[in-house]
Amino acid sequence: MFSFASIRRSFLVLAMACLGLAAAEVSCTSQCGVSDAVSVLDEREGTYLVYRVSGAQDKIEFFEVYTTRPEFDSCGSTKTPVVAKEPYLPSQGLLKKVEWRENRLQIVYTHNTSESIRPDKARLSP
Amino acid sequence: MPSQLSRTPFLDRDLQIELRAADDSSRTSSFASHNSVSEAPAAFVRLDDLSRTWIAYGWQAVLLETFLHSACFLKVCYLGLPTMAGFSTSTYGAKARACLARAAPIPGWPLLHMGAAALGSKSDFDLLQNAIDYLTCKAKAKMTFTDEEKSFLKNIFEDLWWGGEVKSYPEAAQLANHYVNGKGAALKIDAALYQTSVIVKDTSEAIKNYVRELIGKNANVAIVRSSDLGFLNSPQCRRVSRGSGRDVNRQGYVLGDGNLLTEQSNSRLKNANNRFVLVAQNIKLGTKTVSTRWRVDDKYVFEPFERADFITNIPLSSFQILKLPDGLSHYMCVLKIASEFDYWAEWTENWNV
Repeated sequence: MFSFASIRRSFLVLAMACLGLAAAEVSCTSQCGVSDAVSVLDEREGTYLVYRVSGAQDKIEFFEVYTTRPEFDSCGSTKTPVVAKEPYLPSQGLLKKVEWRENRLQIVYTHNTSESIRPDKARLSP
Repeated sequence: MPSQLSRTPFLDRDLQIELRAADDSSRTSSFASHNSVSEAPAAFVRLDDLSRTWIAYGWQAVLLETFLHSACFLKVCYLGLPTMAGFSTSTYGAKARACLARAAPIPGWPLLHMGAAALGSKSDFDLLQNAIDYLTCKAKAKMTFTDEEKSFLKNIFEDLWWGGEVKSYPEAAQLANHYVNGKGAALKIDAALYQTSVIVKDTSEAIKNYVRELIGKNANVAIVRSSDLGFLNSPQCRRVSRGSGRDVNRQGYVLGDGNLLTEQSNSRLKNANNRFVLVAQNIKLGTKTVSTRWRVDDKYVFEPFERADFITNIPLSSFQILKLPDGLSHYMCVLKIASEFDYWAEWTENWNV
């Protein structure tokens, strides 16, 4: 008959084998550990506004502009070249709007709560 | 209060812990406000409610609870399942009631489920994500957690250590593990993490040039920080600053407050430290050489729910990304299963003036 110890040993071997396979799978398919959170917020005449949050415990928010619709992988990376990229720094104030003018991305801050918006609600302002 | 609790041996552990939480005077008022008899002391109201529900459910409750405890003992069921969630809804606040209504099982061995999810198992992924979502809801309602729920969250962070080791992010892994096992002690991390960074290399060159200029003016150079106003206004700093045309993905830059923003293509550093102040502690060795001890100090801390809606994305496979809210990671400190801590790295360089 099987003893409890041998059942437990078999189970551990099976678990380790599963984990080994899983680790190999993880290392092959997603190399980033922690991935950036990316979302396409707006599209206007072939210009795409993307909101990105990067980092693990120390996160930084960015707004990016693309002129081709970007496709992101599980790490938040894309092969589409970014045209402009600016960090949104809450230490400078609340977000009022994001302007894209003459190929220049500008983040407009405010200290007035009533005219501020959430970063993930930003849209391309002409 | 503990003696009253001890007289209700078959009550759900969730419920008992919630009752203990009621001792916390800061929460008493909000709990009491949801009770119909708001004049009475909150704890007595709850015990009164309990006795009524106890009478109402009687032997069914005893049998159900006994069965569930036995099942848990045999590891048949998932630990931490709020077994009697509907048993006491009248005693909780609205937020807490809403959470308990959406109760999800807590997986016993997260690493095994993460491994299975990495192999493509949607059910294992859903199990993990549903548990995190449920605990997030509880954390937002400022509820207390069972031992099993605490253990699950702690395991998630420990498993990040495994993942980080596999994926060559040793520092990020070390930091995550220290968050739940370090008891708040300061941690020294490998300086190579910073030494190999483009923005660190470029800024240290800029600081050295700035120090050269100060030495020429016979000024004090003992400590120079990248956040010093003098350095920020110097031409040396402007060359590495935001707005100088540097590519944030390949090079990073110095922000207006003197923090170095990690080049975003450097995932190893980005996952461990995304922005930081670089400090140079200088000692003049004769007239031609300076010994600089470079140092980076930072704090490992997550933003609470009230301050940001940040989520840490943990890709388990190319199509399944586990979403762990930073507010929940922060709440782990409130639950005393994690501790914020300081971490630092330092290295020394001798260079010619």
